[in-house]
Amino acid sequence: MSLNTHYAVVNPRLGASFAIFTSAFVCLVLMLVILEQLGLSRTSIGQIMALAPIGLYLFIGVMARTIAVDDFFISGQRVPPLYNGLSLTVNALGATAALSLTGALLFAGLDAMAIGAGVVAGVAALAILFGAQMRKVGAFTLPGFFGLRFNSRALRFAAALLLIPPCILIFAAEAKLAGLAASFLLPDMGRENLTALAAAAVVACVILGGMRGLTWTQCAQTIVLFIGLGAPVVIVSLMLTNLPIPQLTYGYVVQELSQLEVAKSLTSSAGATVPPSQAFASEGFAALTQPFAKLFSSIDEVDFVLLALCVMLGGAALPIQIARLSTTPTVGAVRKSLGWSVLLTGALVMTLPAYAAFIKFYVAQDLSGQPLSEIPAWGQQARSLGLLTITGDALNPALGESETRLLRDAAALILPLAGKTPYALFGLVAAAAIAAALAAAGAQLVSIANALSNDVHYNLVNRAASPAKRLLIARLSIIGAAIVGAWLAAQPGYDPLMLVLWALSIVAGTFFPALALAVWWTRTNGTAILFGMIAGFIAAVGVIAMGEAGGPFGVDSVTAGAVAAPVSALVIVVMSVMARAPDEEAKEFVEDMRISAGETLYARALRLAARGRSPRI
Amino acid sequence: MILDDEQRRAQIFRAGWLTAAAFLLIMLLVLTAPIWATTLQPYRFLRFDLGFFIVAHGMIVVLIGTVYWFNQNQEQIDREFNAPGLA
Repeated sequence: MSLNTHYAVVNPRLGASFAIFTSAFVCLVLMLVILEQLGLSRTSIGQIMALAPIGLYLFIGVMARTIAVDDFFISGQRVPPLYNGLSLTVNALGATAALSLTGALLFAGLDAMAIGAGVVAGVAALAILFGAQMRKVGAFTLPGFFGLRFNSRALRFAAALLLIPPCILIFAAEAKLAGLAASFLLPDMGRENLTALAAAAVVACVILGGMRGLTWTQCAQTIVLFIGLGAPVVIVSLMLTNLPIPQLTYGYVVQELSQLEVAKSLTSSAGATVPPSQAFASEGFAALTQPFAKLFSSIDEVDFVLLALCVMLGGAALPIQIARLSTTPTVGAVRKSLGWSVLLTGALVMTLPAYAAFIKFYVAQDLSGQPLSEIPAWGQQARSLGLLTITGDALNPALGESETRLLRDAAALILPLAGKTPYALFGLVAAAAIAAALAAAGAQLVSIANALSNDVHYNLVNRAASPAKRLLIARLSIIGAAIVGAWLAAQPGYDPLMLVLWALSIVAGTFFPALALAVWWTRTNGTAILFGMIAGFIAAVGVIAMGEAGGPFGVDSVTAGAVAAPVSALVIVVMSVMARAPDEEAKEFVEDMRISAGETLYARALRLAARGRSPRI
Repeated sequence: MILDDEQRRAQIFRAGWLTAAAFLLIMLLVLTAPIWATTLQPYRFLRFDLGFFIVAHGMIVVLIGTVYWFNQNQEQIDREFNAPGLA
């Protein structure tokens, strides 16, 4: 006999709806390009590009409102694979990839691909290790999975508390990047105010619909991200290489760039490897000193591998990614969605080196070392927008030669200006960065809210809580987490890329070994997982703190996960081996996770609990 | 459909090995990328240094390919045991 593999999509006109959204957004950009030629001011273009897309996201967020628990926490398990893939993609990337990684590639050269490769490898590891199993379990959250797997409320509660710090760090980083990108479109409003407004916009998008609202706003935001980063790089690729496939054709530009770097003395730090936290850090405007194409010139091979591993393990166990695996209708659908996600994430990550190479090519060719009087109009424009500084102090003041210094997280915005494309495309790239930041920040809020409502309040405080009460707790949690995250984002001196890398290291140390062993090792038990998670968390935070303080062990703070994950795994393995073997019920649970067919284990536990036969819920 | 114990064990065994092979592949890729990149850097491909191309694109392409290979084979296993997804 065969099982039913067909399922109803949430809305039969979903494809048409997003096609209309995409068309409307493209029409908006084209209309602004035309109006720009007719004399529309750049201030107005900036305001429209900042506010119109956010208005669309808010509209989607309101339309996706719900009062149903299943819809609010797992989007009704009706998200088709492509759309779930879009959400998984933007969770993995965020504005950290769009802005900070592009900037890191510009400043540290190809060595920054350790982060890009880690991001894609994280999605791949998620697909291979956890995708089908998490969907088969069907828990609302990562702590919910642990609670169900080990029949332990204490473990579920602890996991919920441990996931809050990394989620807050990522939220703060994304809110900060949203404020930065918006400040170039709305310069009069102040970066701190815009960061707070970005946090408020994120709350507004997800507070009514929870995971459901997040899903559909994220799909729209991912479309904007891909259009926004894709359009300028394809146009510039056409201009420089005559082909619209920048990923394959920028080899010629890299060759030219390498010669320019030597000719204009932009390689003064070549071969001077430093820890990744220094190589990729951002402290205001900085000069370009690393060759773009030279491998292991800014960080060494060991740090490259460790950083890629930390990003990979953290990305694979990120709580919102795990929660998102429960939102598809079937196990097969979650596999397809992860296939879409790895393809889309990979496509964007492969585009970023081309994007950075084009920016550096233009900067090296048109700005670096040029006499101040010969700086082209786009350079003056970028300077007036606050994207870069051009001074005559550094190279040869007598000749008036200039030095260009760039902001790492704003460097991606330079390409449309350098390519002499219409100003509307500058607005488009900024809108894409804002979209990515709002999407990733919203994901963290939903992750925290779901954990606090389901795994803390409903799990420990009030088992009789009504659905309305559970949604209220989740909505209050969204507001509370946003306030804390926005406060952290407003603190000066925190580098968004470092915040995200620290968060991924904490997740890699706290959750990856616990999750992998809980899914793939029958012998482990709840106590071992609890102590392993705590040990991994303490090790990760400790290494980060010591790394920042120049501590004694010489491990860089952004590779803390490389220490914390083995510590956590060791604790879990030793404690599991020393304990009694698990009972038959636990073994059967692990086996059932690996069988794709049948009802979800959460649904089965609910059914049995209703008959008073299962303590697992 | 209810699988008997032997079928369950066979399905779990094959899916487990597939997962192990795919995960090992991506771990090997990440761990050995610097060796590949450094060794192949002198060669050229599409006007790129080959080491550069591997780090910027090759690794990503292999990761995407690995997930698609994994998904195809996992679906095949599910089809074989007549378990294409949740009812």
